[in-house]
Amino acid sequence: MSAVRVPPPPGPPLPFSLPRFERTVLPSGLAVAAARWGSRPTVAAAIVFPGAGSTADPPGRDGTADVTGDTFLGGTRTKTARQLAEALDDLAAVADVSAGTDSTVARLYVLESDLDAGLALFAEILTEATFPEEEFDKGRRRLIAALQEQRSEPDFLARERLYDRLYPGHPYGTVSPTEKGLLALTRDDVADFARRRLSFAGATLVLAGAADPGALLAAATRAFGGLPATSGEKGFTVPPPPRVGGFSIHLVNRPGSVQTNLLFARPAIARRSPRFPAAVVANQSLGGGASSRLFHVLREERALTYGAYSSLATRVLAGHFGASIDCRTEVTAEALGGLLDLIRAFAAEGPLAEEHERSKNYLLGSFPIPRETPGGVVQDELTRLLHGLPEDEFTTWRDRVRAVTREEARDAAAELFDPATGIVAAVGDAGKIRPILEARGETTLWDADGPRA
Amino acid sequence: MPGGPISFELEIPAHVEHLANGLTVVVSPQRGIPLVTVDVTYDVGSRVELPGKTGFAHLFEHLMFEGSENVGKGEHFRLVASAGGTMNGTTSEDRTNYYETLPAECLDLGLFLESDRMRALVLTQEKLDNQREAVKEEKRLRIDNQPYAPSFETADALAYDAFAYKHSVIGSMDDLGAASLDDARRFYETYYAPGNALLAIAGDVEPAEAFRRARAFFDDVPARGKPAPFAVVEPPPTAERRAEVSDAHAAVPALHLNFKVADRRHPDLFALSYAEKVLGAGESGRLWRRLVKDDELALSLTVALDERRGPSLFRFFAIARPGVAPERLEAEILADVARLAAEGPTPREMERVRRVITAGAIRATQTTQAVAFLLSEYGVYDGDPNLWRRDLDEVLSVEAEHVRDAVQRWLVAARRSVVAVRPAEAA
Repeated sequence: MSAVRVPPPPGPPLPFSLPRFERTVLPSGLAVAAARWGSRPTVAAAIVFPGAGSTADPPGRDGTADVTGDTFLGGTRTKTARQLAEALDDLAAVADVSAGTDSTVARLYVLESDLDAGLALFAEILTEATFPEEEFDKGRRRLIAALQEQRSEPDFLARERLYDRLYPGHPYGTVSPTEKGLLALTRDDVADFARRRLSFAGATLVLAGAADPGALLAAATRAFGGLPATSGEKGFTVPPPPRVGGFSIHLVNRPGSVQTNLLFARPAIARRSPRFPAAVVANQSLGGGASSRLFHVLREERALTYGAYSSLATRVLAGHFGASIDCRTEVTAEALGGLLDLIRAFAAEGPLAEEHERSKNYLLGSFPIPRETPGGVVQDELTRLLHGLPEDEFTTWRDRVRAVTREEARDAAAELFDPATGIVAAVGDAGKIRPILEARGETTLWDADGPRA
Repeated sequence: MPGGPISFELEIPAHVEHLANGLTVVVSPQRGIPLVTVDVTYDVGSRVELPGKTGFAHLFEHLMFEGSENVGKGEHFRLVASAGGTMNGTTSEDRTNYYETLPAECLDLGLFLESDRMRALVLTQEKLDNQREAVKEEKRLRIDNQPYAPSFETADALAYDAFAYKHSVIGSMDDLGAASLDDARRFYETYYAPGNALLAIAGDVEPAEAFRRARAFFDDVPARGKPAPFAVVEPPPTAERRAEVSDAHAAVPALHLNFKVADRRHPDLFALSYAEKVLGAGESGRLWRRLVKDDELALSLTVALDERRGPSLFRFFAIARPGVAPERLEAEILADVARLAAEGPTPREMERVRRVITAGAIRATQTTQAVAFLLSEYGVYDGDPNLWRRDLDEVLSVEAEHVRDAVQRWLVAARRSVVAVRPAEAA
């Protein structure tokens, strides 16, 4: 048989449909959504508490949401932290409660055969947590010690500086609570936060697995259905962050670095915006992957880096466009200049026709990949609930991407990517790269000690 | 046992054919999602490298994306993206693989790309120079500029005697700089032969049709000689080894404590996988619980059975709390190992580990990519992709006495190597 010499065309597209979630609301106010998904006997479950992230930290109590999440598994009315850990490990179940900026999410992964036992434990963790003083202290000491270790990581230092400058004075600007903030927290702050912000009214439990959705809803009702109605504070307690103006560079000195880690970001677009699909398509052309312009030029043509990418970050109250490149110290000028020049050119001219088509094809064709697992479709539903998106957000997503024109992508890039406004965070050896950065714009020098160094 | 008896179903069909040129083809139909993963695994990893040539297997992996007879430079990335797929390659000590996950209707594209570069890779000095720089950046990014990462190279060099596993996969900057186009051509001719590879196709495909398509793309790849079998031979252990690393980027000390143990699939390694989880897995792992949670001596602890085709490593890596010396961590780890060697795991721990292994196997095979990787590994290493199922049954039948005996036999001083990592200013 002779060799095939040209890329073969695809066959007819095969259908792919997302599962339909069946829903109920329990007396406590907890909404439940369940879907059949996947072929393995395992269940992914998560409860999202919108608004209960770091944006809800009380004034002067930065880190409250973070530490509350960490302390949930510190013990319940009937189990110590160790007994709780053993009970979960006996089931090979994984449970976790963690706070982001906009929400707290509690997750559970459990074998289908252990669904009832796993959900019972999950309910116990969320309704009977006692936040013991000793466990609170331990968790806080661990976070303080981890802070010291994190300060040796260039990626952490770059993100800390970038967010602090992109969202100054706003909870979105905090990548990690400070030692000072952690020391100011008390166990009562944490218990109070859990009581006020993590009530079931307004929260949703999402489950997906190979089981019948009715069986998943029934199991959720057995675990959570007997709880009384709860009420708490909902919504966001802070306004959206102000948009930064101008262009500035912030250099974190890390003596001995053999690389410069460069991050760029500027305010962009909210997840709910009708222009979001156009922004996603435009970003894919610029820096969404190994076939995109940044990677192709900066790595494949110019050998300046291992990788260069761009992305859109979406928070409920704001969004931003970001780009990154890490390079050896000696080529910092070329790497930063190349990155900003490519972004500027793309913002001015938009994608080439071929780039635009490829980006749309990629986004359409790859859509099922992160949704192969129950955890993938649970994540979609969490995103939808957190951002208040319509019920058909993901079922219609590909139609909206397909409809994005090259002009719409260009307009989105012009509005959202232009690097004339934005923040550059650089981490590297200041003795070698400070003059290089100063030649590109107003540069502030920081040390690695923290956001207000 | 609180969780009750384990009951689970995990069947992964795997159909096998061998082409005339020596290529093994494995097809695993995974219905439900219209995706397919095409994976080609070559029986070559960094273990075959010689002194002065380190990092070459991984550098070569980069060159495989730079174009072939009918695929221009950069076109591989663009074709896969245009089809809505993702792709990558990975190199380990023991093998190198290349894969695309694509919409199922684009199976032919994956087969075309993999067959074209297996048949006729196009190597040039310009491509080599370009990818040499990309790999150097990767090394700076992942190792040279990170805290603790360089100390893993020291730990491996200390643990092993034979050069095969003594050096890192990414290699040294000097060796990367010295790599030549002739090296690349020889490497391709020697190791990238169809008889030294396995093609796995997992996903929404019908086996007979998948085999038909595989033959259409790969039958005309010329057979080339298969490299001689490679075995890592380590001399018998004699005494504990120790080293110190001064880390310019680390803020707090850390400790590597490694034991050189048996090859993968050795029955004792199945038993040691229980020891790994009893000590370190989950929130109730004995040593993790004590060092990280209760006694607050470590910021983090990883207990990992690093399985290799040659001798494996049973690894402990702990990052200390500020003020805690590596020597203290070492004493605590050795005390728990000694307890496990004396008493073995409890019945509850054994049942817990069986359940963790079961859940792990179920969760780790939920994607077409994971299934393709699993079948490729067994197919290349053992000649039988279906062996994983027998291994899973065997590991689930391990008894506590075997765990205790294996810990006594393998986690001993003569097999131990210890690397203390200290922040540079304190060294």
